[in-house]
Amino acid sequence: MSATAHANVDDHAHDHGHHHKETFVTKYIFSQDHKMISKQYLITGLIMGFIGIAMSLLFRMQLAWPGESFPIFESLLGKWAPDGVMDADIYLALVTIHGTIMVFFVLTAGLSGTFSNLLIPLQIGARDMASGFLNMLSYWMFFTSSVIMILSLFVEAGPAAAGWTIYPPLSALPMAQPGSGMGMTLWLVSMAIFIASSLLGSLNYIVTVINLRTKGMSMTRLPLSIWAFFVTAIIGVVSFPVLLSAALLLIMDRGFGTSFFLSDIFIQGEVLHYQGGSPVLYEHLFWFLGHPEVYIVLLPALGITSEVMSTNARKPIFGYRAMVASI
Amino acid sequence: MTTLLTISVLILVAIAIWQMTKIFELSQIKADNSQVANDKDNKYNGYLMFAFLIFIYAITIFSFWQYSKFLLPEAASEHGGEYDYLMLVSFVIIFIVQTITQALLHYFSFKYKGEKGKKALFYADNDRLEFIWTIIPVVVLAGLILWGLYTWTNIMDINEDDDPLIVELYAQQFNWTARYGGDDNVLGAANVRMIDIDRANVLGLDESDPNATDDVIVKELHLPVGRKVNFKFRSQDVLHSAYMPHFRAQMNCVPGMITQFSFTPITTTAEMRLNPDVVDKVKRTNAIRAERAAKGEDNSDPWEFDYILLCNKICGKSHYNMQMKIIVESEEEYNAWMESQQTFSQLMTSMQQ
Repeated sequence: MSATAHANVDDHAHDHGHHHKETFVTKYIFSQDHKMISKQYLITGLIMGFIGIAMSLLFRMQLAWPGESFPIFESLLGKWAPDGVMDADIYLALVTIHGTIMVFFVLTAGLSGTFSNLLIPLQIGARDMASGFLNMLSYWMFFTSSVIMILSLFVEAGPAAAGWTIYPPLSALPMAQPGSGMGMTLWLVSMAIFIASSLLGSLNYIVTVINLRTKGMSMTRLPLSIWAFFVTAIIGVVSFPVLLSAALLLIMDRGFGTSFFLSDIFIQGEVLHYQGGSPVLYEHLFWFLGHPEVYIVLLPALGITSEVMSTNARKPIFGYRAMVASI
Repeated sequence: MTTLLTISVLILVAIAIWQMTKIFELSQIKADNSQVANDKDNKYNGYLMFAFLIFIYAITIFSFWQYSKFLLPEAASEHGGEYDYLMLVSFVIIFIVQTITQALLHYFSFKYKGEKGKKALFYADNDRLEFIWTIIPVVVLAGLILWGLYTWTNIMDINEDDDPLIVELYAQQFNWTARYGGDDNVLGAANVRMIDIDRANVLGLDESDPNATDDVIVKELHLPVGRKVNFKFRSQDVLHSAYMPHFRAQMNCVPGMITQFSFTPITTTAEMRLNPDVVDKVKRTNAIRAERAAKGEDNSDPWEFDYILLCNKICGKSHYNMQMKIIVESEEEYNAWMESQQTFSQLMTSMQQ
């Protein structure tokens, strides 16, 4: 790694065989190289994963010994754990943010972002992704949304606490629980950016697989891992926009007085003006993503497993066409 | 306890760091061949596969033996038995398939482990084999799904046959209220916009509706055994879910709409308390409570079994504690209890005085 020694000097031009100059910033930060972006995804995903694990350790400790006092809670959670006993609100908030981080930031972006970016160009014989710039944008939006999600933990009224599915009206009404105030707004903003990032990434994977295969690499010769990434990206492009619409409608219900998901609500001694909406609509919009999401999480792992197994067994995959069809 | 947890967390972190350094080490290309598996390593791995197989079987048997006592007792509703049977059949099928496939998986990875001079068999395709192992799961799964759909449509067929008792379950943060139709067994119209807390009209009943006058509003659900009950669910603030585990019943309560469920209770509370599983559970719980009482902690009064209605959808801070007692009793006991309750109009007049 002799490059690292020189790379932090901005004016030190470093020829990389591509005949264009790379500085520290373009090589390691705003990189458009798929291998570097995949490393960035891996590191961000791992950090988010560790944060998620830490949260689950905390709330599981309290779940295993309900009402028990743990001094570590007080030092970590401060006012949310008076005398070391976790408050019910922060318990729900930890469960919520843990679920969100694990499902979206680790299993969706961390998994697809890392392996699709690294393996698609290498395994189909392309020089890089179809659009390096889009790829970079996708990572940095993912990074931004991760930062916002983590920042929402430090909001005064507490982070979002309505479960990772954030069903309204609980998530729509700040008076229903403290976590539905600023924390929920940040959650929604973070998710909106995350979905945009996921869409950019998925579009890039699809275009790359369709257009940039090397000579002789027909669709029926693609490695199974690439098939899995390809189908995952298609599922993502089809289903994530629906969640985005749900998030945007929810933001409107929360901020602009619309009634997409709310109707006939009496809370804290007064009737609210919402009329004619239905929380069931939100459930449908959410699960239009939620159901395919399990395949978004599962397929890349299946594809990678198939490829690793067949390589190490020194055999071609059994029933390639059937496997592709089943993916 | 905290020390133990801290130590185990530290050990786990140490293992994670060790593994990660190992990954980095392995990812460096080296001329050193010591990382390539030889026959001895392969054999060792093969036996480890067997050890793992034995481990998962052992943990399965242990879990069945140790934890099946935490399952719910026999269903206390008419449709519940059907439900449990469907669950049992699914589990038996899954259990058999899981046992066989795991055994094959681990045995094959032992039998076909890498050996010097052993060549892999080139066998890329066999349509008939693939067809067979696709069609069998398809048939089994389709059967389970059709059976499940049939059961589900039967349970969800809510009608007015057999003179059902009409009960409304009303959810709010964080408690339940039940409303009976009264003598005419018809619920009066209601909407949260008509709630008048000062005058005790907490459920928003339409005071001009004649059907509402004899409605009975209570905080404890009483049901006569053997009579069909049609539930109507309402919620005033956020999503709740009415969950009656002993009756195998659950339905969401959605603000702005009325949802329904129907079942017939077949076991009274008194009979259920004699059920051997329930007796066991009460004994276990009371042993723990006696221990707590000896130490002078709270929550140490002896516990008696009761059916229970829980909230099963996160609804806020006290979601965990949102519950209502359900009592299933004989027709006479039920009627006597109902006689002793105030109707809605009586309640309103008593409030005005």
